[in-house]
Amino acid sequence: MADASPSPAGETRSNEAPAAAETCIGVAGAGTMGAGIAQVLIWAGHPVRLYDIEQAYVARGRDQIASFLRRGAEKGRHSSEAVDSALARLTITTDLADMAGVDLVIEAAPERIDIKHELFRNLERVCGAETILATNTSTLSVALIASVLERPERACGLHFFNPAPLMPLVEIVRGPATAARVIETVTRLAQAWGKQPVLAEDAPGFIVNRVARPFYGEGLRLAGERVADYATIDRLARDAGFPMGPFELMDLIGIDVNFAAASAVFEGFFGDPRFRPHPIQRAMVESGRLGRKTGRGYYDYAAGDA
Amino acid sequence: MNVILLGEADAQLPLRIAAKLEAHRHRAIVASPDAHLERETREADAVVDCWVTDAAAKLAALGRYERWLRRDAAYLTCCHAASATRMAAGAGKAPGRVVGFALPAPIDDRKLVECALPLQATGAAKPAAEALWRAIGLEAVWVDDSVGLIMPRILAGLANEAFFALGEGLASARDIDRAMQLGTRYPRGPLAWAEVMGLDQVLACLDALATEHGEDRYRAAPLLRRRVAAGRTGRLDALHPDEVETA
Ligand SMILES: NC(=O)c1ccc[n+]([C@@H]2O[C@H](COP(=O)([O-])OP(=O)(O)OC[C@H]3O[C@@H](n4cnc5c(N)ncnc54)[C@H](O)[C@@H]3O)[C@@H](O)[C@H]2O)c1
Repeated sequence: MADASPSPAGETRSNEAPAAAETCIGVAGAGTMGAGIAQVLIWAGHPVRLYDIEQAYVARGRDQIASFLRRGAEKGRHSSEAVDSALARLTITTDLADMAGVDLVIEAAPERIDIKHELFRNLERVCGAETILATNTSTLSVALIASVLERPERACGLHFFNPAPLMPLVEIVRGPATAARVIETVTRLAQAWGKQPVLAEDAPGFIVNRVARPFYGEGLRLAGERVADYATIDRLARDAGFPMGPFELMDLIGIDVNFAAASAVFEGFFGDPRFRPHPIQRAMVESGRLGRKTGRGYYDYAAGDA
Repeated sequence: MNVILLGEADAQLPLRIAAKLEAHRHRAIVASPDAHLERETREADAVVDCWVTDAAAKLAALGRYERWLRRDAAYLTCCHAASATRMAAGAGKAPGRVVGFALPAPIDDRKLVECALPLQATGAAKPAAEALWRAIGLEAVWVDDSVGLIMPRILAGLANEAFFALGEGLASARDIDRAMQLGTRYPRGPLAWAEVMGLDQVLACLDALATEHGEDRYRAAPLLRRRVAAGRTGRLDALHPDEVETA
């Protein structure tokens, strides 16, 4: 990465992020998160190479970015020239060799360790020795993902939230081998993207997916014990200042997605009862009531409920 | 309306409720534990016990004040760390007029108050309880009786997990609170929120839940317990002085 030029005021900026145009970033996986992350990066001025295993998938990722940015331009949030020049910074590819020469790769492939391991092995082969390899994993450890690398010190977690262009938080995850320079660099970059990075150690659920568990878990227990019904619990949570109560929020996230996150943290802590999921969750998933996306979850959306 | 409020010497809840009552031109007396208020209690429409951390003190206060109360007056007991049923079991003359409530801090923007009848309830005190809360602009939401009712239990769970994370060095206090505000849009970070509620009160809620349910799930984080033991219960000693930026 090249140094930035000094600012006109004379204070040196050489310790800060190099000009975005000079830092090329790869994104591996062009699904929901990969496309959203690539959008954040091109908007911040980086040349971005977006990789997926099939042409149709990268094309879909690019279309998702383009339509998101164009909608913003139609609503007057930014100019269509800005959209055009951002999109011009995006290269799509199905050839991993195109990741050669990037300064950072953010991996957003499916949450499967076999896929991530193969990808990280191949990335290390293709990329330069200094390239930082970051994973967007929600539930796997950085230690495990980096275990296939010859240089695990170059790996870290860079956990975005969905939708990546709108959510300000990025959890930067320090694996047991992660080098200090890697943490410094990605922290600076995340700030330059307009994100608010926090630093977390490599433990199940990192910060948010772990500390949020009691919001759902206690809500479910209260409902299961018949202390109050879903709507009453949600109403009281909103009155306490939460934008949504636990049940309407699970319906929005997807009850299956929330249950998977709960189960992953529970397993990650070897069955610590603080994280034990609730039978209600599984019953909802088994009966296909997954929340808004199926029209029915804790509330019935088809009937205009809630 | 005449109301007597009881609670810990440094508790905010009785003071906040009293201020709201007085703002609505009602009479409120915030009583110290050893005050002798027989005459005032006989004239009162309600006694509101805001005690959280000391179940024995709650029961002692109930035994003392309840026998002076008029038949149609209500005895409201805070359920943040106790069930209304357990308190009503300590009421000699008329357990039926005990009504539980939960109102975790900060209360100024609240429109709802959680209310619960003990198993022994006759329901006779329901109108008096609702009238009291209506007098300070709160709508009573009736839930089933239990330790911690709804929001104290959820908030104590969140605070406890945040203290586990902090104690294990997962992240700084500032980053834990920021992450929860920015990543899940919580109105305040769980650590800062615990300080507003009082760490001693959060711990009392968890300990009462652990006893009631007999579940390791409610085991308090060691760091939370040590902070309380050291008297660092919040309010005065900020964990992290930096203002949390919100999105
Ligand atoms: N969806 C969320 O809310 C969310 C939030 C934070 C983090 N995450 C994490 O982000 C990652 C991606 O999640 P997603 O929701 O975007 O999934 P997704 O299924 O939408 O996208 C995954 C993409 O990876 C592609 N892919 C498959 N095999 C690949 C390979 N070998 N190399 C590169 N790409 C490959 C798929 O074709 C697909 O386009 C996961 O690790 C997930 O845990 C997801």
